[in-house]
Amino acid sequence: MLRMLHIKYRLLLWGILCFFSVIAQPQGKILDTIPIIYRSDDVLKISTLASTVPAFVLTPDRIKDLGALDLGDAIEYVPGVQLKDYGGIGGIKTVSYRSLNANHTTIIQDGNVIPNTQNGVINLSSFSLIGAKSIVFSTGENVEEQTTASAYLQANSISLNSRLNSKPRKLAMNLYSTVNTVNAYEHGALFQVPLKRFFVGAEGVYRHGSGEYDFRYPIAGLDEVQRRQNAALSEYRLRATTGFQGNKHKITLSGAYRNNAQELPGAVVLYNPSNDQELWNEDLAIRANHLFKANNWKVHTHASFQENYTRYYDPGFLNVEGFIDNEYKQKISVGGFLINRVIPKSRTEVFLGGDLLNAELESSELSAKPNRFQLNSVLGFGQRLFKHHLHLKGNVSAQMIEDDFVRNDLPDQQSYIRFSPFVSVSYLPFKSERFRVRAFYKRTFRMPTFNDLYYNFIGNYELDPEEANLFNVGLTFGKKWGRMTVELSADTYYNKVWNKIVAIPTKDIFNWSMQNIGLSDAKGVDLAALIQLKFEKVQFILNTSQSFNQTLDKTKPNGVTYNHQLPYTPTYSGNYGVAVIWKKFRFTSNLLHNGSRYSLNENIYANYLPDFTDWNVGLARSFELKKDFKAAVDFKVMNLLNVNYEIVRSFPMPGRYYQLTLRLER
Amino acid sequence: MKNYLIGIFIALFCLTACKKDPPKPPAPDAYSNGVLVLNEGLFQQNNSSISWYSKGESKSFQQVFLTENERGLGDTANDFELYEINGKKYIIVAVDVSSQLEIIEAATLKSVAQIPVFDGTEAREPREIVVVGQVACVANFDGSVAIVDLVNNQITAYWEAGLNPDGIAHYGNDLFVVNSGGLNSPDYDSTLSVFDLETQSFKGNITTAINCSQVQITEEGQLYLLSRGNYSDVDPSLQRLDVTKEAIEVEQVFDLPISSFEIHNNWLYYHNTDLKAICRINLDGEDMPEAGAFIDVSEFETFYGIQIDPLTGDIYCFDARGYVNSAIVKCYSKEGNFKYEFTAALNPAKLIFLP
Repeated sequence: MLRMLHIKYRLLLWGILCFFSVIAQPQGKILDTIPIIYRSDDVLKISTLASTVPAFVLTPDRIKDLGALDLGDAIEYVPGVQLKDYGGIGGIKTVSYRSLNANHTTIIQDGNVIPNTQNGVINLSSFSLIGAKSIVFSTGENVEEQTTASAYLQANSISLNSRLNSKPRKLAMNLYSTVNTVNAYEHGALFQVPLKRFFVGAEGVYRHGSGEYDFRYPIAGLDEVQRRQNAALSEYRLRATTGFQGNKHKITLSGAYRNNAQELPGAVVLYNPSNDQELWNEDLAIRANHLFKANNWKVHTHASFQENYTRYYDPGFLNVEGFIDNEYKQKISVGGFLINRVIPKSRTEVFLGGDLLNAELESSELSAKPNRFQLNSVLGFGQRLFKHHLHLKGNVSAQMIEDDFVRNDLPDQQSYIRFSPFVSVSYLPFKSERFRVRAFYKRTFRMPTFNDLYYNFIGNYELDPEEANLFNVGLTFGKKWGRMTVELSADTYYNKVWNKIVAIPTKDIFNWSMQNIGLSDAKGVDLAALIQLKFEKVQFILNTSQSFNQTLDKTKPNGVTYNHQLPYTPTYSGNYGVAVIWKKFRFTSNLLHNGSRYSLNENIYANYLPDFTDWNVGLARSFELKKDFKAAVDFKVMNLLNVNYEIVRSFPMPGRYYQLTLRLER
Repeated sequence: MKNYLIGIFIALFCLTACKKDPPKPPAPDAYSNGVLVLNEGLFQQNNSSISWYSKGESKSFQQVFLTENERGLGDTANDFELYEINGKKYIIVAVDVSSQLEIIEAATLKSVAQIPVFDGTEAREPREIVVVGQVACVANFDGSVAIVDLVNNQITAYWEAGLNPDGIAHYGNDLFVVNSGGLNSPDYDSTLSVFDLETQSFKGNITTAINCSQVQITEEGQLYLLSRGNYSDVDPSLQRLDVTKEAIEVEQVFDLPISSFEIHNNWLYYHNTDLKAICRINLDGEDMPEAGAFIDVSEFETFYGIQIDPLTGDIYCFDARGYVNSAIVKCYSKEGNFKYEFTAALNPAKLIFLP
C-alpha cells in the first residue's frame, strides 16, 4: 500500500537531492580600514572574536589537520553545526545549524552567493578545498568584507575564499594527490601567475574511485562485514580566474565547469543488495566582478550566469519501460551592486545593495515550467561608539519574488515579499582586555523553492515562506600571555521556527504534498575554546567545541510528538582537536562526538540512532625544496576506533580507513 | 586568571552530556490470546516490525520480531498469513523492498526460513500472499507470482501476471491476481490474471476498472475488488464479479468514496473517506449500501485499514497518525461500539489473531 508513496517519495528525494551545483566565481577582496582591536583580536583566527555575531574561521592549516577533502568535512567542526552525511565519495553532504535546516544556509564563494532556486540546498561535498584561503561560518550576518545584497537574506552563511581570487606575490603552484583506502582518490592542481597589475590562475580537481567500503550493520543480524557497492564516481572540476588589481579598482572574471558521473549507493536495504541508480551533473558558471574603492567609498558590482544539468537514472523501476530517467536543467542569471560608505569622523558605516535574479527550470517532473524573477535588497548601517567599545550594527533586507508558471495549461503568476530585520551589538567593557559581550536578533525567511511549489503532484502552489526568528547572546575572550594564547567564545541562543515547509501525506497516503506545517523551538549553548602554546622547538594547539541543543516539536499541543526532540538533532555534540608541531612534523588528533538522535519525530526506541565517536589521527612531514618549493607527506588514520555508525538512517559510514596525501607547493 | 582559564578549558574537555536513552522494549511471555500486527514501516528505513497485543495483559509489545530474532524484519513488509503444516502453526511474511519471504513459527516468532525472491540480482518485491493448502501464492510487484512449497520452504515456480500486482485471492482451484500498474501511472493496468492451481496454467485476463488493489471473495463466489482510481479525475470504486460463472466479468460497480474494506458474515464493511466512517453493505444479493455511518472514525488522524476477527466479529481499525508516528489500533464490537485500543508501530498493514 505504501508503494505509490514510495515512488513519489523517491522522486521527491531525488528532486530535492539530485540537483547540486559547484560554481565558482571571483570577487574582489581588498583590505579595509580595520580598527586596531579587530585586527589584533584574531590571533589565531579560530573564531572572529570581534564580530557581533558568532563567526568561526577555518584556516588552510586547520583544514589540512582535519584531513578534510571537501567543504562538508571541514564545516562539521564548527560548534552548532550538524552535518548530514550520506557517506561515500559521491555522497551528499548538507548542513544544519542550531536546528535550522540546509535551506537556511547560504554558500558564498569569493563574495558571490551561489544560488539554487530548484531546491535551495547546496551539496557541500561538491566544493574542493585545494585553493581555499579560508572558510568562514557565521550566523545572523555575513561577516565578510566584500559581499552582495543576497548574502544578507539567510540566517547562516558559509564563505569559501580562494587563492585564485587575489593577486599572488609570485608565481604560485599547488599539486596534490590523495589516496583513501575506501577506494576514493583525488588529485588536484593549481597555478597562479602575476602579470604586472593583472593576474591569471586556474585550478582543477579530479575525483574518482569505486567508492566501495566495508561496514558492519548489526540490525541485519550478520556478524560478517558487508560491502557498500554501487558507489563509483568520476568527477572533474575546473576553475579559472583572471583579474586586474589596481589602486582603486579590482576586476575579476572567472569561469567554472564541473562534470560528474556517479553511481548512487542509496540506502542500505536489509537483505536486498541490488542498487543500480546513477546520477550525472554538468554545471557551468561565469562570473564577473568589479570593485571600486577610494575615499571611504566601496562599490561592488557583479554579474553572473550559471547553468546546471542533472540526470537521474534508475534502471530497476518496475514500470512498463523498466526504468526512470529524469532530467533537470536550471539556468540562473544574477546581477547587482553594493555601495558602502564609511564616515570616519563619526565612525559610521552605511551600505545599500540590490541584486536581480532570474531563474528558470526545465524538467518533465515540473510541468509548471517555472520562471522566477527575484529582487534582493539590503539597507544597513554600522556604528562604533565610545572609541570602538560599542559596536552597533543593523540592516533590513527584502526579498521580492515573482514566479511565472503554467497551471492547468494556462499561464499563472504569484509573488512573495518578505522583509528581514537584523540588529546586533557588541560591547568591550574593559580597556585592556579583549573581552566582549555580544547579542543579535534576526528574522529570516526560507522562500519556497521550485521543487516545493511546482514539483509534479508533490509541489504546492499555496506555500508560505518558512519563518525563523533568531536570538543570540554571547561572550568572547582572547588573551596572550607570553607563550600562551587563549581564545574563548560562548553563545547561547533561542530560535523559533514556524510555517516549516515539509512533505507530508495529505488526502491519503498516495498524495504527498509540501505543506507549511510545524513549529519548533530551539534552545542551546555553543562553546568554543582554543589554547596555543608556543615553545622554542614545539608548538601545541588545543581546541574544543561543545554544543548543547534542545529543539522541541511544538506543532500540535495534543499530538503524539509534542515536546519531542526533533529528528537528527543530538542534544549534545562536541569535538576535541590537538595539533603538535615539532620541527617539520605535525601530529594531529581530532575527535568528533555526536550524541544520540532519533530518525523520526517520535522519540521512541524504534527511531533511536545511538551516539558515535569519530576519531582521526595524523602525522605530516614537510620538506623545503629548492626555488621556494615545499613538499609534504600527510598520513592519517580515519575513524581510528573503527566505530560502526550512521549519520543518516540506512546510510552506514565506513569503519577505520587510511588517507595518504602528497603535496607540492610554491 | 590564567589558571582559571586553563581550568575552564579542561572542564570543557571533559564535558559530557547526560543521556536519557529509551529502554529496549521487553518481550512478552507467550504469543497466545492476542493480536499480531505487521507494520510496514517507512521506505528505505529498514523499520518494518511486528507488534504484539496481549489481550490478557491489555498491553502491547513492540519490535517483537527484532527481540526474538536479534535482527530486523527488513524494509516495507506488506502482508503476512497464518497457516498450519503437520499440526504446527507458521506465519509467512512478504517483505517487499527487502524482497524476502520470512517463515516464522507462530508460537515463538522465531524465523525458520528466509527465502530471497530475486530475478537474478533484480528484486521481485513480494507483496500479497494467499495460502492454499501447503502452498503459498505470492504476488510480486515485478509482475510475477511465486509458488512456495511450505513443506520445504522453497519457491517451486514463478508465473507471469500483469503489471505491479497488488492483490491475490483464490476460489476453489482458481487463483486471481489483481494487476494495479501502480508504478506505470498514469497508464494503470486494469486486469485480473486468472490461473488454474490444479493444472498450474494461465486461464486468461478479466478486464476491470483501473488501478485495482484489495480483493476478497465470499464463500458464494462473489469477488469484491477495490479500484483506487487515478487520484485525480477517476474516483475510487468497488466492483463485484461472480467467479462461479463460466464467463467472468464485472457485474456491479459501486461508486463509493472507499479506501479499504473487509467482508464478514454477509456484510461488507468499508471506510468511507467522505463520511470519515465505517459503512456497510449487506451482501444479501441486492448489495445495497446501508445509509449512514456504522462506526464514526472522524477522530482518526490517518485512517489506514480495517480488519475483522473472524471468530469474535470484533472490528479493528488502524490510525497511522500521519504515517510517521506509532499507529493506534482501535477495536470495536460487532455492534460498532468502541472496546479498547492499543499502540502498534509505523503503518500497520495487517493483523493475525492468535487464540
